[in-house]
Amino acid sequence: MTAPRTVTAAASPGPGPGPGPARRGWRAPSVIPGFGPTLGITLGYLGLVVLIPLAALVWRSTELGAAAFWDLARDPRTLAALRTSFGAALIAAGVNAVFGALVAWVLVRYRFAGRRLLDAVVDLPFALPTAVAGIALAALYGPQGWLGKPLAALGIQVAYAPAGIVVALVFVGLPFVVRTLQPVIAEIDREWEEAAASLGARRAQTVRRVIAPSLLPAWATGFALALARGVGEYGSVIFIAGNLPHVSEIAPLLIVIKLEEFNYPAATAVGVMMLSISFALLLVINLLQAWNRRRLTDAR
Amino acid sequence: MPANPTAPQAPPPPTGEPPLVRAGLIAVAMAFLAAFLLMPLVSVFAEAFARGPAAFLAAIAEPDALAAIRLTLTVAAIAVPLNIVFGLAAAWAVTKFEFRGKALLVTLIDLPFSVSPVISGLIYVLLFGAGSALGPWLQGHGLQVLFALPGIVLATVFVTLPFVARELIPLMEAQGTAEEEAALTLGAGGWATFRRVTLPNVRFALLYGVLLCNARAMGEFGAVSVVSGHIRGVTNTMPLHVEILYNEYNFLAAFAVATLLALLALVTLAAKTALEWQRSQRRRAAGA
Amino acid sequence: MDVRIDHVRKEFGRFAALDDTSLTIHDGELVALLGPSGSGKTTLLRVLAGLERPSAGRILFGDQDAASLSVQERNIGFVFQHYALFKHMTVLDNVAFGLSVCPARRRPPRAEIAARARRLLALVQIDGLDRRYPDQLSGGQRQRVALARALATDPRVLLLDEPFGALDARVRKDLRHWLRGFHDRTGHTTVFVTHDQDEALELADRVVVMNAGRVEQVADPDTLYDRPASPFVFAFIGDSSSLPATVRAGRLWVAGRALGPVPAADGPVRLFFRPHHARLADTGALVGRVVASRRQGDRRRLDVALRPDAPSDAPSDAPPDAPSDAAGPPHSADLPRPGDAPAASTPVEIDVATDAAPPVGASIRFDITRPSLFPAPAAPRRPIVVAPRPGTALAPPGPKPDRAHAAG
Repeated sequence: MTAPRTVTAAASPGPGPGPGPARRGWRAPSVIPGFGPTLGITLGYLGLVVLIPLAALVWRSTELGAAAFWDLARDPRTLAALRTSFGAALIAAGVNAVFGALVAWVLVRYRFAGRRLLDAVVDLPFALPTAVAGIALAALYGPQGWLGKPLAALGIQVAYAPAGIVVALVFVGLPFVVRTLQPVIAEIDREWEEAAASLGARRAQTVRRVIAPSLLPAWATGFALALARGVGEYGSVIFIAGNLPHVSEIAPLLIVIKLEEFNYPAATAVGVMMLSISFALLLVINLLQAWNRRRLTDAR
Repeated sequence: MPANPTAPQAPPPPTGEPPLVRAGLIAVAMAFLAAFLLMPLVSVFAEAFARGPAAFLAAIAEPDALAAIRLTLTVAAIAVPLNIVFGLAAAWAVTKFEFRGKALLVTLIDLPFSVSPVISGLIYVLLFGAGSALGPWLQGHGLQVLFALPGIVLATVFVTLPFVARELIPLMEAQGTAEEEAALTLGAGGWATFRRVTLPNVRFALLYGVLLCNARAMGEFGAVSVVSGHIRGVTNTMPLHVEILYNEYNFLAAFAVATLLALLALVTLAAKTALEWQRSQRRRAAGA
Repeated sequence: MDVRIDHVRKEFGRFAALDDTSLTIHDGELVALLGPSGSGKTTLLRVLAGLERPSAGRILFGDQDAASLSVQERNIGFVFQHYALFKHMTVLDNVAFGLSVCPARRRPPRAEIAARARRLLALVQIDGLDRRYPDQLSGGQRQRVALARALATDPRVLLLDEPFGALDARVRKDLRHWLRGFHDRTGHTTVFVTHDQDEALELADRVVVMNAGRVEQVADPDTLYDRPASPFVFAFIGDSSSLPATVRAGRLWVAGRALGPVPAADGPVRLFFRPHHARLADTGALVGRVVASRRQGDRRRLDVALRPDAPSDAPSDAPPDAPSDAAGPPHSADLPRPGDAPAASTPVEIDVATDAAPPVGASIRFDITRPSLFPAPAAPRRPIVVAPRPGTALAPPGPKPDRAHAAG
């Protein structure tokens, strides 16, 4: 359940407990005990669980050599899988940006029967194991499913097609957009809307020119979070995707397949490429969140 | 609001949408959430009970399913406490002290969220697998990490590492250090300060973080799938067991095991809602 | 164009924020809505703007009934207490907003909009900041941007909600002078809400004092201060003290003493006076003890606890410090509860020259040079009048209430 929350340590570059000049070396003096042990546990644990294994991935990819890596990276199946993962995640994030914003607006602004239930349900993708979501979506949108059957009658195939990947990624990405936007919508000053109205703006103009721009940073953040999650998603997708190479095979699945073939170099190469995409997105998200935070804190 | 009796046709309200637009937006939101969230959840239970409760029970009582449940509980019982200790230590270090590189440290703590679950498994395969430096040494000493409990635990620890820390950090950041400093001036030691001042202040956030961590630990699929080896009755966790049953077209059993995981999700959501409700009640009580 | 508020009522749930309010604002006037919080002044402003719909009554802009006009159609300029500047827009875009959203056929060309916005920024004297964002401005600058933005659509009425409330004291004073000058130059019909009486008295042509959803008095500042129309206005505007009193046979009796003839019907009344309308005098009608003394400008202000009896008349067993009820006067028919002398319970405030200020604890005598009388509250919780006793009237016949000159 990766609630999109602002990373706060970065949010407080301001003075620490002591006045500025008192800072000696790399940390400000503090009377509170426990710095050594807690930082030691933190760094040791992070090192063992996260950093060394990630370094192993990077190390193994350098062992391959640039030429071999390049050959593996240019493999059409790999490129198709990356394209499928990224493209489907992009579309799903777009769908979520539209409907997630609508859901967030409705949940914050309106009072109606069932609102609290809907609000709680938004977190379901965070709590439901991806494998369960995957088989549930496959059953629901499959040819015999409650939604798949009527859709098939309309000539729309969702399950076992690229559209199925998008459906699964909409499921996993929705809470990122909704939960990022909700607090920002709640923060919108009613007086802005009244001011715009008193200046003669019609409701549509107020929404387009006053409300939407003030939501933009949070909106972009939610979109990027949903996109990042979608690119790497595995469990909920593989059951509904059909997994046809070059068509509906996602990059994480390709890694699994390569591992099952004991083709570690290929798995490593795909892994490094995916990791690079993830880190690029992480950077973008951090920048967006800094922007978002500035917008929030500079109010008034 | 009583309408103005002297107004023949009332102008639209200055803010907010006209009732019709509002009703339309609510309907669209409900339809969207129903199609993408509620109906999948309901379909899990519908499929599991498609052939009655007896078939459901039989599917769950099957020995491989029981083994999977046992393994899942074991993994969570190891991974969650480890991440609680880590989360508390990291939150203490990050929020009670000022030091260079703090922002980087926080980014590192969040890192596992940005990594695809499959890659989270892949890195351990590369670290402990046959082609690695560690692999042969482990094999020589008869230590099995991959395709065994230690590997599954490690992958689970990796993907659930940030949950506790990221619930605690914003709250402890907001609370500052004043109360801890007050406790120190009153003669409390470091441990007593933590246990009697800090911990009570963050207990709800901690509980929430633990809930999320546990839900993910029991439900993790991608990372565990890569390191487990899928040995039935031995290294299959519940989500992996669901996958195997599903791929064998044993849908009824797959959905039956899935209901257990769905129930876990529902309990987690209910607990989360209850915690939030309680928090808002406390805020209201404080405000009154 | 006049704006008329005609028997307007506004309820929020069961709470009546405005209760049968009527008021006419004349063309070009600068009017203040003054009152404590919860008095309905902001509600009235928002009803005028169309941000709230009245539960009953009419708003007329000239001859036009505003009921069918939405906020957008009313063409008012509204300046919010916290300005509500659009923080994702530059100062120039904020000011231009009203022009850029008007219907295409009435909308001026882009260049013209920008030019008009710049002219307005020059008018409010913050030219040169057009490219800044609201976050980069000081409070006073934001206030002026908000004003320029409200003026951009050439509104029929300018409405300001607590225009100086969010500013610090010095800026507030500067901006107050500036706004008065600005109004004199531009002549917009302007209504502003404030809870600060100094602001209202200094700035407005007329002040509307509101209380509990009703208009208490509408008057120019001089009339409001010198001839408050109700006990509420008297207490709310300026400093004052009030005492229970009674009129008996054309004379005013307070705390057991006659102050002088008053043109009022017999019965219980409430006496109000300002601190500078009291004068120390050896033959003063009122007797009291100084319980506190503090410097206030070039005077000293004394808190005086009144004693219901003059020493010469008091029973000798009543020491000056004794609880006043020990020396209660014999009660008459309109004094159902003996032993209750509220006149002594709350000190009154009087101003004296610093060189003549008696020390704390001293017994003093003083006269009220300019008393104002209002009917006693309808259902007093306890008797408010101490019965006068014949022969105790020591006061020289006081001056008539509205003729007296101020003592200070």
